[in-house]
Amino acid sequence: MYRVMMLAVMLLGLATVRAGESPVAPAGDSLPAGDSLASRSVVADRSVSVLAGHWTYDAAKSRQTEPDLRITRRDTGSRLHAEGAASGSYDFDLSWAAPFRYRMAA
Amino acid sequence: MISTSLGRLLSGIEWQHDFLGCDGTEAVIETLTVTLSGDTLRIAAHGNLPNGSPYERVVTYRRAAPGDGLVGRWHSIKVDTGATWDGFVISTADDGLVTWRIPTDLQVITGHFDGSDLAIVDAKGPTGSTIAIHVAGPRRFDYVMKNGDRITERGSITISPDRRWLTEINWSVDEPDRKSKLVYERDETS
Repeated sequence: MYRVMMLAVMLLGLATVRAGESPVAPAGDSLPAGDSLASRSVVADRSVSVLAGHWTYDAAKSRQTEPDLRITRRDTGSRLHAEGAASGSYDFDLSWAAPFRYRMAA
Repeated sequence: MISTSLGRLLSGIEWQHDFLGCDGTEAVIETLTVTLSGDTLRIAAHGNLPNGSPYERVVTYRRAAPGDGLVGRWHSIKVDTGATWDGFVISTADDGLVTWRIPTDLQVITGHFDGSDLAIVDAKGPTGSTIAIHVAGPRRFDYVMKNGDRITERGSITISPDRRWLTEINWSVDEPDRKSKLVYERDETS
């Protein structure tokens, strides 16, 4: 009787793994024989639950980068054109105290 | 986007520009302070995010090629976001539907992480950018971001085994060797 119970437990465990506990194969893999898109969907649906929650950025553990910057002279004055920053390209004037039109590149 | 800029010289090596909105409010949307010191260039930006919360971002560059003053090529060596708060609020449903909110940008992404393009929507509607996310492992998700039909960014998101940390690695497709690492901690109450 004990061996029958252990066999049942093992089979139940195998069934659980097949139904949803195995990791998702990398994209591009073909579906194994006997597998189905429906069972794959179940795996994906359960996997996203680990994302649920409120998450707060930790600057001390992060390491952000920015593209390199290129600054060129716009004309004979002090207007410069800067490009490469993550926020986009921009023109700026180093001396004017008066407002001037400014275009943020797409 | 067209704005107005008000610039002034702060010192011999430092300039400040206030970028103003052009919707009639004339509110400062961003202040940029540019400081040149030898072969080091520092650009400090601060302003307010779409939800009104303050942000700061200081990028330090080292001169990459000979140039005159600010003119030339600059290699970024450090990014400091100071005390800027950022974060996500993510909820999932039993059928796998994910709702991913970015409160600071007033943005939300809703859909299944099956590799299909999901619209990034802000307070004004679809931004024109999409993100396609697929499950790449038990706690890993890979994504591709597009602006229109053009792929702009790729990345991955990994949840730590204890589910406390979310680590995002992303990079511009134009500079795949320059990757950013962004780490988020799960709020204990969530």
